[in-house]
Amino acid sequence: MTREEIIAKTNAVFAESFEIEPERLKPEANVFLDLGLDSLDTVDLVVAIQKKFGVQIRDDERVRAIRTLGDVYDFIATIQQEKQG
Amino acid sequence: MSVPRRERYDDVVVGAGTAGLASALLLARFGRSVLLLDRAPAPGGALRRFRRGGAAFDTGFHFTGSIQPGELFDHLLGVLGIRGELELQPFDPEVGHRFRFADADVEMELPFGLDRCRDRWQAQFPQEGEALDWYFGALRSIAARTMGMDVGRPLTTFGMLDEDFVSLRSVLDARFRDPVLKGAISAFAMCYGSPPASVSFAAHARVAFGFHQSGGTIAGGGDALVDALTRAAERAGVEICCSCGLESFAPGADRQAGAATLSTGAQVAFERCLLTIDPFAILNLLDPLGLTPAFRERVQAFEPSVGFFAAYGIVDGAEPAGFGRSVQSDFAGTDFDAAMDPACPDERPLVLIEVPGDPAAGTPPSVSALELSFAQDVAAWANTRRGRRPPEYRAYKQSRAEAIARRLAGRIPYADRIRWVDTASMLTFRDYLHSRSGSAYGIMLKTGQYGLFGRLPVRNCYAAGQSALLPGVLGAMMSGLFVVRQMVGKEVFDEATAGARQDT
Repeated sequence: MTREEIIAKTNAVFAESFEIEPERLKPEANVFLDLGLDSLDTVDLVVAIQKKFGVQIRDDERVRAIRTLGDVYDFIATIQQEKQG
Repeated sequence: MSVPRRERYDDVVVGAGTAGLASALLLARFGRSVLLLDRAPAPGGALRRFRRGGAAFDTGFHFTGSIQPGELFDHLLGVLGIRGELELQPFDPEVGHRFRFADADVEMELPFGLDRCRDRWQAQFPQEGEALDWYFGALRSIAARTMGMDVGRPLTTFGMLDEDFVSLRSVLDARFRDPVLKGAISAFAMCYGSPPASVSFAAHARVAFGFHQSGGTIAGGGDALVDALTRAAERAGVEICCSCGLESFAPGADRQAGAATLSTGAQVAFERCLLTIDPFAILNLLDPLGLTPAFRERVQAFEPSVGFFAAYGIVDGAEPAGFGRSVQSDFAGTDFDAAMDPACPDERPLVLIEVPGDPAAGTPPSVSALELSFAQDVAAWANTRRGRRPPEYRAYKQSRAEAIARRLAGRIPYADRIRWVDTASMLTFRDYLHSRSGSAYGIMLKTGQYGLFGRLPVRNCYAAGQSALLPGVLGAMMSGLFVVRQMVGKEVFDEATAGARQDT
């Protein structure tokens, strides 16, 4: 999966599952401070990404380290690589 | 009593089943003012017994694992402060569970203790020796890494394990060859209601660990547990309101729920609300407050677990020898993914529970036969109401009960002395237990699934219950304890409960 595809699908998760306007979805946007997610939304984010990308994600340290949308893209790229490797 | 005495409480707990009673009484012990609500006329939920022909039958609680001193069930009763009020009745340690696989013509008896069961299976399946060493090691390891299951250790925060992301089926197929042994390992699916291809290995292991440790029941059944929990809750100052549900929340500031409107029309204000009800009912209550589509989709993806068709009977004459000392299960095939498919033409898995008579209470010995069932079995009458169902529905219940009686006639020596007195379909369970579709264990446990547990995205609302973490009385109690720990703070909770490991 290319970086562009990851970005498009991730942005679709934020737009569809968290009703965030597409123009706010910039890589440097802080998921919590700028996009308005709550730490209590983290599990729902994980579940929505699992479904969108067909992967399984543990609610582990790497998820808790996520701050910006760019971090989310990077995290999914890592997960995808692990899945293939 | 059905009207709250006050207008404001620190905590409102919704649902007075195992999880609701346990968490309400703990919150009250931590000095909170607590209102506990239930739509039913009395607390207890699925724990309540019913009476027919002088015998008492359990609805939802038949037996539990980890029942010996120092094991998890015993430990949780200690934390709740009710250990001294209950008489635990372990099964026969040599034969806690008895499995029969009809097609393979194999019978097996499972003793208490992981090592002893491993030894027994290794003698029966010598080719699987290494796989069994690995399997029982994995059960121990998963239990030790799951919060709270190792009673000698303070609770740690809940995190999913790697084993939560692989199915039991994938583990069985990768590690084992003998279909009968695979069947015996999967047979505990009857105790959590999800097929091997669906359930995660970790969820299976948490339940199987408990039943391999030991099994047994409580003198007086579910009623005894409800009564002890209710008395303890009242002593702790919990106000219990029955015949009273929570209808809706007023919107609150900052993603919080505001005052609750009850089914009686009363309004109560609260700081926090703990919902120990069906996840779909939680969704319906919280949705008007503004949830993300992500939360809604997560809950809507949950599926109910399987259920049971139950036939209840009284044993006339003298109580048979060894009665009530083990749970007997009767299976046709060994593949539980096939058996737990509604389309499977075989006889459905059946669990027989014997309840000894109590001469002091004047109750005779009785049996409950629970045969696997699915919502599809009663789909034709799903929209009908209790007492208004057509003759075809009664015919379904009667023919199923007769088939169970015929099946047991060749299986248990005292079958001709059983007088069948009642039956329950999944609709009966749905009606009396307020469980969506009459499922036996709340939602199905799926690989990689995050249940509703702990603090919810509506910030002053929390979830617990048998759909939160693990099914059954043990799972419901554990979820109640952990959510209270989250609500009152870990340090406070751990300090207050540390003594429970040693007391009584």
